Amino acid sequence: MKYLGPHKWLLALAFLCAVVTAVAMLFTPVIIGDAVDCIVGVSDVNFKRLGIYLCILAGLIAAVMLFQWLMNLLAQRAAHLAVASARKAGFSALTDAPISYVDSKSPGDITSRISVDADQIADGIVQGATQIFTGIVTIIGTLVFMIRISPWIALAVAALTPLSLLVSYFVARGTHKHFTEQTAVRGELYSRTEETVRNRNIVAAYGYSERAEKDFDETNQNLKRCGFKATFFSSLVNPSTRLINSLVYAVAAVMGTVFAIDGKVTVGGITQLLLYANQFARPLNEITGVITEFQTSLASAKRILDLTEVKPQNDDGQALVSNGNIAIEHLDFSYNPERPLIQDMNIEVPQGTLVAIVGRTGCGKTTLINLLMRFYDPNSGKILFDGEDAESFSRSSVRKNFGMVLQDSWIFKGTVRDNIAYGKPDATDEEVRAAARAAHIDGFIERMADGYNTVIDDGDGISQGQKQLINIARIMLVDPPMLILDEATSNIDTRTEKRVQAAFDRLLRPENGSKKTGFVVAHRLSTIVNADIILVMDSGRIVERGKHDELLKKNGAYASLYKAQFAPMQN
Amino acid sequence: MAIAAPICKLIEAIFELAVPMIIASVIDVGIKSGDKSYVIKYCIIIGVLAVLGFLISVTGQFLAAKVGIGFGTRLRDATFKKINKLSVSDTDAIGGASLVTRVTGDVIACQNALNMFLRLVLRMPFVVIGAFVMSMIIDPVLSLMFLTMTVILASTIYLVLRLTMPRVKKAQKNLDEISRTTSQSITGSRVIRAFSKQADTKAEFNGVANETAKTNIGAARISALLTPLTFAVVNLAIIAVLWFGGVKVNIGTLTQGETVALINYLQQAFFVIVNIGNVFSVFTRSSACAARVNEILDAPLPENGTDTVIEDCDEVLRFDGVCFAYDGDYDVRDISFTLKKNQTLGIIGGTGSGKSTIINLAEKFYTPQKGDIYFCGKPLSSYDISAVRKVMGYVPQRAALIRGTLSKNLRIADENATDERLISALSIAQANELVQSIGLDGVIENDGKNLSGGQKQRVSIARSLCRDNILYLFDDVTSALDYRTERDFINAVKNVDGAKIFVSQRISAVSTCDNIIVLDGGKIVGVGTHDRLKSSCPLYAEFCASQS
Repeated sequence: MKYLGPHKWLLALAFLCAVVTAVAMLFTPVIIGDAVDCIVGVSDVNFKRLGIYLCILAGLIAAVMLFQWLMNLLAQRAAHLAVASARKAGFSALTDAPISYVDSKSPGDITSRISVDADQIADGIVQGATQIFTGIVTIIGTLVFMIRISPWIALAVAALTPLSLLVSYFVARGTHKHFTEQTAVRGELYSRTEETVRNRNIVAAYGYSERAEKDFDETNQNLKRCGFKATFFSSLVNPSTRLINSLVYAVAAVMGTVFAIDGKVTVGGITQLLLYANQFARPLNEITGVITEFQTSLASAKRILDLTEVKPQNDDGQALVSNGNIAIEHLDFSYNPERPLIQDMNIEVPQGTLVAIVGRTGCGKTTLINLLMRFYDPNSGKILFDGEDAESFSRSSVRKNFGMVLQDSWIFKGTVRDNIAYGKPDATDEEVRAAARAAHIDGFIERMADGYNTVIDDGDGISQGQKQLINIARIMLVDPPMLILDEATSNIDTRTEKRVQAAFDRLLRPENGSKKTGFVVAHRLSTIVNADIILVMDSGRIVERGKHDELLKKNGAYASLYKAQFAPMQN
Repeated sequence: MAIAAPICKLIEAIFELAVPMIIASVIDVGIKSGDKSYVIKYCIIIGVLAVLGFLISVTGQFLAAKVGIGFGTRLRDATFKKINKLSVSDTDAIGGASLVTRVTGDVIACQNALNMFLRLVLRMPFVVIGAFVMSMIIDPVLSLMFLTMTVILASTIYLVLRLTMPRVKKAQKNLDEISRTTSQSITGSRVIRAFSKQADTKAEFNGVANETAKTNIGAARISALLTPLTFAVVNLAIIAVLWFGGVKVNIGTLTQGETVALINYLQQAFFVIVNIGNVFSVFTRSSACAARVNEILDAPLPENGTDTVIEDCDEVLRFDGVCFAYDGDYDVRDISFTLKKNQTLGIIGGTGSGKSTIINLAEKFYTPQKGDIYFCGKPLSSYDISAVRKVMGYVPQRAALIRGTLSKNLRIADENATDERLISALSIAQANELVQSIGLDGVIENDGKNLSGGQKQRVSIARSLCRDNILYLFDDVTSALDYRTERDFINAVKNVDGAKIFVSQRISAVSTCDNIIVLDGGKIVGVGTHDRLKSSCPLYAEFCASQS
């Protein structure tokens, strides 16, 4: 467990404290027993010795208190520090991982690895380890003490106690099956509930509730059946180990008293023996319980460790300071080798060109953007920046040359100002305002409770369209050398879109200064009529390319897409 | 059963309490008199009690599991059914994710709490009170020691938990923050990389992770006191019993065996009281869960009329001065329009202009605060709403698909629809291509994850066409379709009987409607046909201009 490594001294100290605690705890029954031996009968009480024993007992209590407390503190500290470092490592791996890794995993799964699974290191592993350790020390110590009092009784207890282990092992094994089934049925019930709740308007509108309830009931009854079995069988562990323990206790009592009658042990000795017999079984049972928990924790811990071991994407290469000339040569790419996507793509984009990419969903538009941003690397062929292979530049520097706005806009929890100034944290308030104005979101921001200092979150309060405008303002503020707009205005109503479009035009073609290279993916064809070159894509191939007017004249794929959008409706 | 379970626990506890007494008599009588058969006889009794105790406790566990699981199953069922009965406005207010947690996680927490109560808590008073009574029998004066210990122990546990609880809660909040930060950085993975902000993101997360560790260590500092303190209290009590017991044995009011029994009772009570700590924290957590489930069960049912007769009427839907607010300010105000049989109405407006709200009001998902809605000549509120919904073909903005087959999704509208009907509905919805590729029995994953956005929308549209409706409500259902498919659908659906409302941001989706309403900020700013609005409504003209 490499995340425990840095805290090994804490853990070693914790274990040391555990030993002291366990030994001190073991001595308490001895002293109690010795004390009982001082109280024999009427006028036969040795108060002096009793007093000494009680003082020793008080000392032991103090020692147990101190060291047990220290042990808990140290173990917890080590545990939580280890959790924190595992979390940080996991998060760091996630942040440096290739986009393909993030795309391929379910977000909920990764989140639970970093949040819930990491906690298991503290709950299960560290606490489990200390418990197992204390348990082992206690068992060995108890055995030693019992042998000292009476080897035969000790032998009998030691021989019988594993029975309780065996019993709890069998119960646990039998329960495991029912628990696995219960977990599966619970998952099923969850997804049924989730489905009905998510579609509640349809359920209401089409009177589907009775049928949904029938399905739910079926799963619920199923859960009742296996839930009962799981609960009942697992609840057998306690009574059955208690049964074994009581039997062991009875045997110890018989042997102890018989030996006492024969004068081989004292009454105090019996008291000690009985206390030990009780105490002997307890850590054993605890250990069996802890071991199962320990195993599940290890599985959880492995999930976060797997995450930390994801190879970071390299960021080697020289820094790109692009003039804006891009060329794509014989580019092949697919996410899945069985389903080729982009095949032999060739494009020449001189500085200042506005490239529009159109086509149906799934034709490879967004993939092209992924490749330009170096989120993914081509399978073969090259992307050239100013004549040099993109792979010779570092990914971060390539990305710095692009300003990107995606269809799925992203807001993080923070003030509106911080969200807009994401790419330029030292921007002045005036600059932020200007960017918001350019994105036509300033009016909305001014109306918010705290204006630019309002804290926003990805969840509520602002609409998809407003989020997208904030993302646009973010780019407006940075004013990058090249632009990528992937359905950047898809969630904005068409009136605002028109105004934002004008702002993009000013950004791409400033009055003073040179034109910028830009890539625009759009659904609404009206937004791209001014493009220098329009690429019409279908199944990963460019089927047509040219200016708007040329393509219309060609009367091919573009023309039919365009007409479908604007032809008058016929009845 | 709910009564039998505690009785089992009572018997079990009595058996357990008998053991120290037997041992005491074994020590005092058996050893003193040197009677081995006496000793063996009593130890066999201990063994028999153990076996009987086992049988009874297994019965108790069986009953507890039956009661607990039965309760959980019924509670889950009731909660799920109640959610289906609530109005969409109520469920929206609670939120989908929260509803799901209530039916699943919260109910399980309640069930576990009941189980724990039956299994552990019921045992506790029997053991503690029993041990106290037994110690009273042995020696009333020393039993006061016992009482003092119990009180001190209980208050120690209470105090430690009181101090830990807020810190545990804070740690829980920190954990939520960790989840939030992680999922935020997953959704933003592209933007973060685009701006090369990995280092900042990590620094932010590290702050949260450190904070969490700090809170947890802080909480541990106090909770780590619990075991040592309880250990100390019990052993101090034992010291006291030994000393005063010694005094009493010396004057002959107590025996050695009884002193041992007293110590045994102290320890029995101790183990039980320490367990209370664990149970207590489970109960605090589950009481919050129970409150959340109760909120659902106690929620008032939506108002509903009784009329189930829908008369044939020339006027299908009429809004008369309708105002509605989700909360606070009106989101739509003064909405009035009439929709006649077989006519089409277009509603166009920007984001947040109130388009979907009108559809939600027509479906009675929400009820207007002011104004009236009439359906087929009678107020919408006078109907049993399920009767009205049976003749409305509602298609929501976000396509709603369930796990199963394509035909199962379509038959949500009508269980008895024929395959021919389904095929024709799919054909009107321009989803022929889907029928050809996956067929009516084609599998649809949860939330239609195996379909594209456009395909989902078309299946959702087709569902509404699988039965005959008086009114169709299409809430921005063509947003993921390309313009050609949208046009083909609009042309095809014209031939279906029934009045229709098309809600959209696109001119192309509404321009052929018999009547068009233009919404802006929740108010109607223009009514008329496409041609009339183009010249009379500046906003509509602006929409036209921006979309051509």
